[in-house]
Amino acid sequence: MARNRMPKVKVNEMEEHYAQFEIHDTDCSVANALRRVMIAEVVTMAVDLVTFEENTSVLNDEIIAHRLGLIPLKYQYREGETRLRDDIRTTLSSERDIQRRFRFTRECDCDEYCQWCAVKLTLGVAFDERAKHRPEREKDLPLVVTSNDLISEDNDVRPVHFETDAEADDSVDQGITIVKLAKGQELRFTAIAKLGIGKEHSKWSPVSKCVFRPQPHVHLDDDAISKLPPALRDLIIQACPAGVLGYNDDDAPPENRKLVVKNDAAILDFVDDVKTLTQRLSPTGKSMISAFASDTNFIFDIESVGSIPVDDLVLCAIYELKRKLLDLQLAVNDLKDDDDDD
Amino acid sequence: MNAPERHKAYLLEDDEARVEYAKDQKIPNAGLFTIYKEDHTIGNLVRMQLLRDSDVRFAGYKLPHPLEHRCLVKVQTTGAKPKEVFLRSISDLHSEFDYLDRYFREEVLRFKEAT
Repeated sequence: MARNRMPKVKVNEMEEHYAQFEIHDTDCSVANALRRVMIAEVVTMAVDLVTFEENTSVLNDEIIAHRLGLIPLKYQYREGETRLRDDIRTTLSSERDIQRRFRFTRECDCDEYCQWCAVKLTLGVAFDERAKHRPEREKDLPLVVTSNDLISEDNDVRPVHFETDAEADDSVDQGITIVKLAKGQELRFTAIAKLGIGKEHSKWSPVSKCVFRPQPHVHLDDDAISKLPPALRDLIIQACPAGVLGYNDDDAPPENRKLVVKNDAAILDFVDDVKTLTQRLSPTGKSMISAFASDTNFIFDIESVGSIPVDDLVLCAIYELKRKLLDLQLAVNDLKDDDDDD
Repeated sequence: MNAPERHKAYLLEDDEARVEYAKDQKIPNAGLFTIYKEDHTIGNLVRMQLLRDSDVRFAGYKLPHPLEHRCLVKVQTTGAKPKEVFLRSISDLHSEFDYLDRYFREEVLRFKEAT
């Protein structure tokens, strides 16, 4: 009885903030569990408590506190420098996992917060103070306070300003805008960042996009299509929105061009239209395309907000699922046997 | 304010067990697992894995109410103990994710070396 599966992975694209990969030979429920955990149950750090000392900006304290919560904080393991927790029970996860460094505040034995469960960030910006160092022609312009002005007291955790260096080069700002200050205004606070998960508040969710779709299996009847005159082949392409179907080589002479699927993600939505059309065009009334969604292969698209690189994110999600299953297994094992005599 | 506390959705209460099991009083070889503080993530995963087992005659799950954080999984087998079948499914899933974990690491490494 072959109950368990051996899923395969194929990485199509992988950058720090974006990944597309395929999982083969598994089930929709596994793909969906992975997706759900990545969105709502991977542990990250976010600002949770803010104490304002001075706020004469146009935004009130609550709005600024909310904006601070949404700034991604990145934990970076530094070889030889980061002091990991010594009370951790397992070494199964990678040391890049934030939980090897920090505890949840509720599980920590400190009174309020400490270096093992929280990170303190401070910010102090006064318009008049900064104006002294600004160029003469910019002196009266509003001062943009960004995530770059947040100073983290822990070297392992820092705010994420931009996704990529290219984005940083393009931007006129130094980071994520918190508030703009005018003449005479000042902002000073300390913020406490804590561990949490997306189920508590979406500021702890590490992804901005996390979707999967079944891999489409498309079969085009090349013989039948090549017998059609070029004008009719163009008609088939036009049955779908631009970019879904196309030719393999646009420069080749029309009779040598092959019809191919250009957008795997969209073809399933239009396959019925193409089917009906090709049935009408065909002398035998047979359709020239068949496409169906795979039950076992899935394509994931993931975008990280910057708090965790995507490859670590997927591993954290798998680890979290394994933890859940183990927890459940132990709990079922512990169930009393009294009414189980059938 | 009377908004429910968010952590109640994923943290067990002090005196709460993760799982309760109740044997079905009318149907032979059937039982109901109540998994506390879990949702579709685990419910659907376990149900689909149970259905792959040839000893399982019926497997279904539901979340009775969006504000009650528990997940019910009902299992009927062809003769085996529901508890054993349930454990089997969980360990199968665990080894599947183990495999996925290793394969993903290797594949990412291979991809990074290639680029």
